[in-house]
Amino acid sequence: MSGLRAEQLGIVRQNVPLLQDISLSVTAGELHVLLGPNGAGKSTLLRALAGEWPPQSGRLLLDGLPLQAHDTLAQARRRAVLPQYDALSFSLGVRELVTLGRHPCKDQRTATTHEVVDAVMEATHTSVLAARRYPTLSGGERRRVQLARVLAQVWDAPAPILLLDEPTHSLDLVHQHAVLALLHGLARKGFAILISLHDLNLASSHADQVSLMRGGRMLATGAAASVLDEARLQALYGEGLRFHAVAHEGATQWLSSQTRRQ
Amino acid sequence: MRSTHILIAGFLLLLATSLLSLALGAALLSAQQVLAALGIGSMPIEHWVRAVVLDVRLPRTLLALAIGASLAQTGVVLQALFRNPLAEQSLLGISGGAALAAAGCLVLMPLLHAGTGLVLHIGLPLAATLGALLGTALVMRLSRKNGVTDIATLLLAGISINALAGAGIALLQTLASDAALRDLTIWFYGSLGRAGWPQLAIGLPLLLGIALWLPREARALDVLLLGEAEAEHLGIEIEPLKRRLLLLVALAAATAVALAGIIGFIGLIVPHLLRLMIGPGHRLLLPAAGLLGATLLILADTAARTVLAPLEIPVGVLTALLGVPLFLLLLRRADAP
Repeated sequence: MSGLRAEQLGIVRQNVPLLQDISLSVTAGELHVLLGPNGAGKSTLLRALAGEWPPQSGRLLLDGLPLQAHDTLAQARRRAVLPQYDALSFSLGVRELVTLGRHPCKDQRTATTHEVVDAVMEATHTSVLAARRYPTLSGGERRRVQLARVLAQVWDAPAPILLLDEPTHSLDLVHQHAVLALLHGLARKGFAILISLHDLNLASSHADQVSLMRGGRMLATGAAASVLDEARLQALYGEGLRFHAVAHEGATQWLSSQTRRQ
Repeated sequence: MRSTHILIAGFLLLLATSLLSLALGAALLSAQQVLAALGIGSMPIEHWVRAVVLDVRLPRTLLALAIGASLAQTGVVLQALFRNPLAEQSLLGISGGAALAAAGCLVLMPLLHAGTGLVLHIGLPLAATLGALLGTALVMRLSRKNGVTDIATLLLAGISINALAGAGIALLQTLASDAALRDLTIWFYGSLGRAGWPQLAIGLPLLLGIALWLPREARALDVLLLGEAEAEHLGIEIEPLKRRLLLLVALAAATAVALAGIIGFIGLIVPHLLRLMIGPGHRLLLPAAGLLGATLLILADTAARTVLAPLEIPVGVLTALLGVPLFLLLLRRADAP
């Protein structure tokens, strides 16, 4: 019963149904990737699981209990959230910002804080940015610093949960793979991780579980290798794209091209 | 440590400025005379010196200290709350509400033959406080939907309420007698000239109490800079925090307006300057803003009552005259905020 679960979740905002009948588990030991076109409801699902939007139907469960049964602080000690965009306009120092991630943590000893902040900055390759001010960073650097902040929050938590909305956007190829490899490694250590992505190949190289979403509904969910096939991708992205599987370094990679118009 | 040094420097600066303001005025006093009047040192002084320092200048300096510190600190809080370095007390409908209520008192009470001494003395600050709280409550109520305070709506509601108050004040001005009109002017541009021990007895504990409370929220304010959803994910109950902070800010600003009228730009300039100098972390920023805000308002008030003596310039005019160019300069700087 450990971990985060959505059961037949439905979210309606301003009379528009954004999610319908979504069931999904974020389980310890698994890197779970959400794939789907823009507007599929990936961010909405992540927000719902983060407790931002209460469900109109269905249930959200943390360790088998309704999400609301856990207070804000208790949730923050288990689950860290990376939103798709950040709104920080103040000139915080990078290390100062990462340290803010430790706000809810039980262990507030200075030594632990330093240790964890060092570790997450190392893991996200942001140690070299430590002395910089946030507004002077590039988009990709900001993304990695925010990821470091989120990791710092649950780095030493029991049964930690990560919800990351497009953690790789604005990252270069090297860092995209590095971040996914890092998350994969954390999953092996017992983290429960749910992320959204737009890159099929990152998903098929690193994900344990993949869920395909379209129009606020779940098309398929399961082990990456069994879920990703040509027919499902066609259904996911529509007739405008054609897909072709290629074996590369032991993983299936997907080539895509636009369907030629008549 | 660096932050301790900054705070000690700020404290010494405040102390020096306070002594300066006690020494300067129609009668120029020496440092020894001021200290002796305060009971420090054994220099014999005449009775009038003691009276000037203790009954005239000290309450005024203390009021400037408390209001300056409070304006700067609540400015810091508002800017974190709005995540906008341009937020200020006047945005919340505080200034508008207080000013309208005060104008109402000044203009209408003489018409009702109630505008004499004591009634006006007590009625005016009371009305200003009520007006400020009412204006804030209205703005907060208008911006709350489904139990959530929307910051963008809050800004627009504040601007609207202030505009409405401005129209009401203009209407009252057309009805006002010449004497009332002059009082109104002093009120709208701020003056510490009404400072005395009775006003301080209420104002000082309230303002300093809030000033001493706010640093407890420093960590939460830091987290708030990341965004409201982010703060919630970091374990902060965001709605109670927002309501508590807004109430404290409104109460502090209303007290300040009631005691000294509207004094602008301290709440804008001081936080801005300090963020450029020491960064946006609130554990240092809040106490530093308190010290610098107090120092600046004491300086401004000392200048206001000495530069054109025996005429007194409204202190709000002075803070605006100094503050606006400085602010525009800051706006032009590429790396602001």
